[in-house]
Amino acid sequence: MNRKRNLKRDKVTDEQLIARFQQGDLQAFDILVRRYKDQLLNYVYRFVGNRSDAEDIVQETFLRVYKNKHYYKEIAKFSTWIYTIAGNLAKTELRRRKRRKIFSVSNFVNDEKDFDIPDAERSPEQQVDGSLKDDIIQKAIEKLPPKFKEVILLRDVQGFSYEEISQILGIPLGTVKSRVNRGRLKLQEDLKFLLETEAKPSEETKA
Amino acid sequence: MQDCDRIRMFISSYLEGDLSHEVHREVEAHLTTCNECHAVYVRTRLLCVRLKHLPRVKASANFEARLHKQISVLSSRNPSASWLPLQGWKTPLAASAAVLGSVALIMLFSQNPSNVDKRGYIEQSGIGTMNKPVPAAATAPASVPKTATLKSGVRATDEARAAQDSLNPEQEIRQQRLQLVGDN
Repeated sequence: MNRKRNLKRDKVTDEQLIARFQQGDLQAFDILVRRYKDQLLNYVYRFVGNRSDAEDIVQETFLRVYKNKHYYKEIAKFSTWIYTIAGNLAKTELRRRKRRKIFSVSNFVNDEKDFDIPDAERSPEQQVDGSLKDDIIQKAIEKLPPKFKEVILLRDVQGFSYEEISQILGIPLGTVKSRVNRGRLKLQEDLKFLLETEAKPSEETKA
Repeated sequence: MQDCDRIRMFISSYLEGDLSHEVHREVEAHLTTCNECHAVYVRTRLLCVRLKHLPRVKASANFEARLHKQISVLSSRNPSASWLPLQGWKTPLAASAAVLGSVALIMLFSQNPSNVDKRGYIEQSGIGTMNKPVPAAATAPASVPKTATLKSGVRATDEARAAQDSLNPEQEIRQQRLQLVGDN
């Protein structure tokens, strides 16, 4: 218990924690879980769009870290390693859903369309206030192709640097930058009606 | 429009101040003259703000308890798997042991054929040369020539049979008794 407190107080790095865990220190693993569970859940939830699936994926991510701890080498940051695992599991889940959808009758009922049809009886401001705006953005993110979705989430939602994203995804830096830009352009187009309501004040300022 | 496409390629870098001075000024100049590109720029900037401030989803209260449960199930299923430091050596070690074992067996069979006969491996090898039940004397160690090899198993069996033929009834009974003791 004292050791756990000391670990907290000293603000040990993730890399030190995983090194301790590799030597059998289970408390170090627990600290890593506490450090990463929420941010990973947020990332995976934004990726797959389902809370329950996201929890399962993050659980599986930590189980994989637990089982394969000796595969981690200090040449990479722990955060990039664990995000790579979580991202790969999230992509696998999306592929699994896609396969399942092909054979599913429910495929013909697309409930996601609810967010795409503007309500003519309400003003745009009324339509898109509060959490509804967030839901609309989430749906737009989900509709992005995975290669754009992952970079947008890592960059704009999770706040990683381009270099870190390049390491997490194992793709060149230039590709990351290009995909971030294309992903943003696509999203701003898809969310035009929502963003324009917010853009008005700034437009006025400009004028 | 070609200009617009080119400028839009730089929108994110422009937002993040990640352009050379020259390109930055080029984008800036275009945005002051092109309303469409300016609108794209404004929306992209707002989008980044919105994405950054999306509500953070948090793990459920029982997340860690559930994880610990799964880990304990995992550990009970394979207690050594997660903690054995030399886990990665298991497979090559087993393979090496199997190869060494096979080599040892081959050497055993090929270099000491009398043992083969002593232990009755001729009957078990499925050579199929014996049509009638083999009397215990067929495996009599003293009577089988030492030149017999596993490959020439047929020959060894024939010689054993010849040896059997040459035994008198008393010797045969004695050999049968010896065989019975060996079986026990």
